[in-house]
Amino acid sequence: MRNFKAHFILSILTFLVLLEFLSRIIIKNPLYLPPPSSVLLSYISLRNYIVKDILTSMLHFLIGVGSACFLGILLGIGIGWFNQIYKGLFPILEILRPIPPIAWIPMAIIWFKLTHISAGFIIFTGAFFPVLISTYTGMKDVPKILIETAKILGAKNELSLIRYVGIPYALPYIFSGIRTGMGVGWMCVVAAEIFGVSDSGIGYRLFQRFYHFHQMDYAVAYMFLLGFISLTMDALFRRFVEERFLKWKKGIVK
Amino acid sequence: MDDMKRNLFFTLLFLSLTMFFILCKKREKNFLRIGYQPITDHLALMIAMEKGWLIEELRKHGIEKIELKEFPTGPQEIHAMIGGEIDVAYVGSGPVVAGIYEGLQAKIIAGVHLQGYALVIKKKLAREYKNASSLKGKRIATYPPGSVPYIVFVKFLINNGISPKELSLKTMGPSDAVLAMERGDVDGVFLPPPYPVILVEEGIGEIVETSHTIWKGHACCVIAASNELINKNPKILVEIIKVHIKATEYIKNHIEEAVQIFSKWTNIKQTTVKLAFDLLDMEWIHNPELSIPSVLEYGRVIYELNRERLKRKKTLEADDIFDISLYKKAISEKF
Amino acid sequence: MKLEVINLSKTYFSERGEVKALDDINLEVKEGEFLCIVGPIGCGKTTLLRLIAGLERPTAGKILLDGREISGTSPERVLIFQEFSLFPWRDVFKNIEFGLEMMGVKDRKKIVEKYIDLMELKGFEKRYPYELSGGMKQKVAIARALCMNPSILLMDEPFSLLDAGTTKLLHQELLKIWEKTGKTIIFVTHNVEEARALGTRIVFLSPRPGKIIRIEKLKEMRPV
Repeated sequence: MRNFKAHFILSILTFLVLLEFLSRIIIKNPLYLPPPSSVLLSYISLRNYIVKDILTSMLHFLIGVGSACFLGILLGIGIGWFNQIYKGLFPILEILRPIPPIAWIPMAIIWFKLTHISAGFIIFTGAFFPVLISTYTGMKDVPKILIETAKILGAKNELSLIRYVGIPYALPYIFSGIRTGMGVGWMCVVAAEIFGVSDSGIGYRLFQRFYHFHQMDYAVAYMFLLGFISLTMDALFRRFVEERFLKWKKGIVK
Repeated sequence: MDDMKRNLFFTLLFLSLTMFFILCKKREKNFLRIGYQPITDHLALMIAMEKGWLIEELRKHGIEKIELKEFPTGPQEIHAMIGGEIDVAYVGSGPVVAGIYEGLQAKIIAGVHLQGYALVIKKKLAREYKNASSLKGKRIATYPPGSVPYIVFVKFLINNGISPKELSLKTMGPSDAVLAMERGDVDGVFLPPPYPVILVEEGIGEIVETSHTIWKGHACCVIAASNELINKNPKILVEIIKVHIKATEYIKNHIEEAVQIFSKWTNIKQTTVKLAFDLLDMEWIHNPELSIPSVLEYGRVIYELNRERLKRKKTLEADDIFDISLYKKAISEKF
Repeated sequence: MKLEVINLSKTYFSERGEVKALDDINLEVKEGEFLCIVGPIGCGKTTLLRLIAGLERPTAGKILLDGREISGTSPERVLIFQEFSLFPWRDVFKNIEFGLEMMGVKDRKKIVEKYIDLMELKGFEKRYPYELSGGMKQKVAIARALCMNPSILLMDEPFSLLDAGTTKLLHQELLKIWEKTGKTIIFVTHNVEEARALGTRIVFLSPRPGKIIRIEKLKEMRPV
């Protein structure tokens, strides 16, 4: 384990040094290839903006992913459990699913104007379908034997079956969907913030400031910031949610 | 140890491929790419193209084809120029300075336009408008940071003791801004011509300030050319400036035709364009020296806006931004 | 407690046609019996059990429990499946208490512990199904069923997925429990030896459509 970490860090360091060389000595155009050193220094130069930008983007993210989880899980349970609902909703959802989040921007601006909600909405369109699909796949997958056993043991109605059998069974699927949804949703943050819905935010600053002032090292710094936050959220989710609730999956998956 | 060697090898391979790819970027030089925006400021270019004057002169110097690229705003146009997308640009002077600060290899070689902007506020608010402080707490749309409208507007606020933070300033392109005001997403816009007039014509807003009242004679658009072109093929640029002078003079005596051509190029109604001529103080020029004082001021504002970053660089002087020699040559050859 | 199966028939209808699984079954089960149902694969023995459990409806005939016609499932007639049916997200204790939880019983702990003792599962309360062997899983299933104090315990080849050694042990345990609790058990198997080892009576079913061929009485019902 230690060996792996050392290799990993060394490999990245070597790459950075070579990139620095390439950028400063060979290409000599900081707009084409900002040197890693100035990208790293950017984090310090931007210290007055970074926290506010992260918080604003997080707000948009939470609006989008929160509503995606709420609606996605609710509809997913309905679609996965009740065949009528499946038949009714599935075709419409299948048509909406492939629409890229960015394509929703003009509609979002009309529906929600230039507010935090419209930014959250773009993120919603990205996060919703992974959550929905995972949820209903999990619900559909519930083994009949578990449902029959529950019925025999006294589960009186559909609601009990959903609550005591369906949802617990589908929980790993739901979490997997949420994780994917979070990943996709975060990638939509920049698209969501392009249109000046607020005066802060990682995507906003990238597009309204760094782009228009051609501050490429700042831009690269924020690009990596986006990636880093995504990794962190994913790791935190895995550790504090999945590990806690899915102890029982240990024997079955991975 | 083997793992590390392998990593090193692939890293080097990747980097050398990248280098190879970058160094291999060559461009054919028998066609010229010119950038512009759909604003009346750039009428001279539209007329020169429509009349065929530009290609006629340039053919004599080896240029087979002229490729035009339209951009919604100046900063976006300059960003593309940095990427090598265009060789010559009809563009706002502010973005040129912002670009040079970040390493753009280009200079301003001629003037294009002065003034012409207007602040349009929605009717209800316009009645109560007194001065800049009436804008506190309102939502105003203008061009992106670094552009001339943005700088002029911000300076307007600051000169009147108002910080931009005291209102909600949203930055976007011209059609987005007009749309935003039509929908009621913003209370006012500060835009280049003829866009403010669209809102007046539609009865949505009224003009409360113009360039004239805010900053008389301020520079607006210029022609910028890449240093590469200035050094390697100045003759072409001199020809371009000569045609530009001809087209600029043409506007003043052929307003009807100018309106028609602009309408054809941008699909904006002729009545709107006509109205712009009536209501706004547009002034077409060709002498770059007329722009120098305000452009240097733009440079100072850009410097202030990016203090933390630019404080290590030296402030730009006129020689860093302008190259007047080509204009002087064009004038002497023409008259 | 008396279970009566009267003129019971079950036919399955599908696009491919009709399949008659059971043909005119008549049977009476008395309290405390260990009834085994034996037959070849496809003879309808599982179907019969599912009908008694209430998971399916008869095409003809009826089933009466203590004189009342049954409808649907009920903890009075608990079915233990051949495949493992524990809820994987619940530990042993929570699996066993499931039925009591469904019925809204408040003081579940004592009851659950009683059956954990009975099935010799002490010490495994916090284990999850993935940590248990096949034999243990079925023991938990049985404990879970017994918690409900069912009138009848239905078992559909519960040990057929286990190895011979475990099966033997479980046979002994099952008989011990039967003696202790006096529960009425209907046990389905395709293995006649197993039936002979366990049951007080054996019902033999013919191949599809299942009819009762003969009934063998093995021993007297053991006194409770």
